[in-house]
Amino acid sequence: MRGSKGVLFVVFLLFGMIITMQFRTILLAQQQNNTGQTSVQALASELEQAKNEGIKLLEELQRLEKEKNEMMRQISNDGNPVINELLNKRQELLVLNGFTDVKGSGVVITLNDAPAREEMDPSQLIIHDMDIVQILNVLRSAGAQAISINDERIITTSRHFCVGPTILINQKRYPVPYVIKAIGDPDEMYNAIEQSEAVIIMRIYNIQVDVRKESEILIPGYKVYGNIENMISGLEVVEK
Amino acid sequence: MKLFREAALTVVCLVLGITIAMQYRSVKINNTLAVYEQQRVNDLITDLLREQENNKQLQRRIDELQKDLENLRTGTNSENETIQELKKENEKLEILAGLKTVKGKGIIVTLESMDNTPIDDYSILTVLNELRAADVQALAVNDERIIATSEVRRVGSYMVVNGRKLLPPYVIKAIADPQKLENSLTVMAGVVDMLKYYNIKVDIKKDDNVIIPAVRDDGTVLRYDLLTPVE
Repeated sequence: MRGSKGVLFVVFLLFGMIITMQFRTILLAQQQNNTGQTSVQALASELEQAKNEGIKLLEELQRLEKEKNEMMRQISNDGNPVINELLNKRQELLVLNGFTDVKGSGVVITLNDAPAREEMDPSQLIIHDMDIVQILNVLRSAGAQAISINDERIITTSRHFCVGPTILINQKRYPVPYVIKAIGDPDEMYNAIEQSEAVIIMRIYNIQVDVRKESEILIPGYKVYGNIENMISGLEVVEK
Repeated sequence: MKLFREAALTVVCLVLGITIAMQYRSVKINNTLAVYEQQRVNDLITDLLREQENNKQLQRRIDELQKDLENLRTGTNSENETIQELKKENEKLEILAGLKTVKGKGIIVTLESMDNTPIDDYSILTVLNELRAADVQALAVNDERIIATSEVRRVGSYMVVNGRKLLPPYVIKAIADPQKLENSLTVMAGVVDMLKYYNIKVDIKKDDNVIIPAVRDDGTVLRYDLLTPVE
């Protein structure tokens, strides 16, 4: 009788302590959650705002560039042959640098991660940066003249980086699927891609690679985020 | 009475057991949540900083264009000034397109196979991609300028770049901040470590006077005959 009272006493003591602890953790967790939640939400909305601002700035920039081109054309209409020649050269250089939207026939490649399977290491099911680098290399070997990934134009110094399940191209983050467009000889590029080691291996791992020939592809120009000076600041011309 | 007490004890113990289990679970869940949250915050911060930097650059470019337009509109520029300005702009575009031989601070990376296996194009492509990630401004492999459409393809024991045959050892030149370039290759478990695994000797030299030749301008490398500009 006495023993059972002792047991009861201990049990209730424990019970009380645990309820207090539980209560405290819940309170604490809620507090943490609140601060965590607000900082994530605040950051997310700030990011959203920055992105929207970026879109607006880009539109403004494109409008100004168009206006400048228009005014340049007017100058060339005035008929100074030297200016005309320089403007033609400028247009050619803009195309060469990938700063203008271009169209032509070519191929469109769509890449998507393999569906999840339990027996495989997940890192083998996703597309890696070097897969993309190799595909671009195959396209270049087959004579591609303009290439874009998810409509980001690939220029000389474009990097492509794998960041977990997303890719970073020209400082922009994109999730799968990755759509690679290339203008050039469609047959040559199609065959080169279909027979490339990179694509064959990707398909073995069930990564989805879809290759289509198309007669009219539009590839946007590189959006000059910075000024050109920034891109050549470390280069000094060597006269020959 | 005894029965009641025993029943009460059973109930109390049962509730106690369930509470302990719940407590344990909530602590575990809270921990994973905290880790996940931290990761998400870090991702958001890097994305945000990048967007803000992009916006700053966009704004700078817009200001520049507005100044150009102002000059064009008011006609403050004489024909001569317009010509000078166009020439300057064209030269910048030529440098960027790789049409000029350039020099600057950078690094020279030499890749040499330590056994008889030829170096694969994959190895060179990896190095080039890492250098691009370090904001490289000009690149060449064995003095063949790398531009947007340059391929690097192994054929047997040599490499084809811009349609030209190159023999090993492969010397990659890059112009940009030398320290940043070197770091991009030598990070732990990075490219240099990977190449060592393939028995490739990597020599990295910083140089204040890296000279990178212009792209061959014979119409075979810089091709755009299949591109129609869109307005």
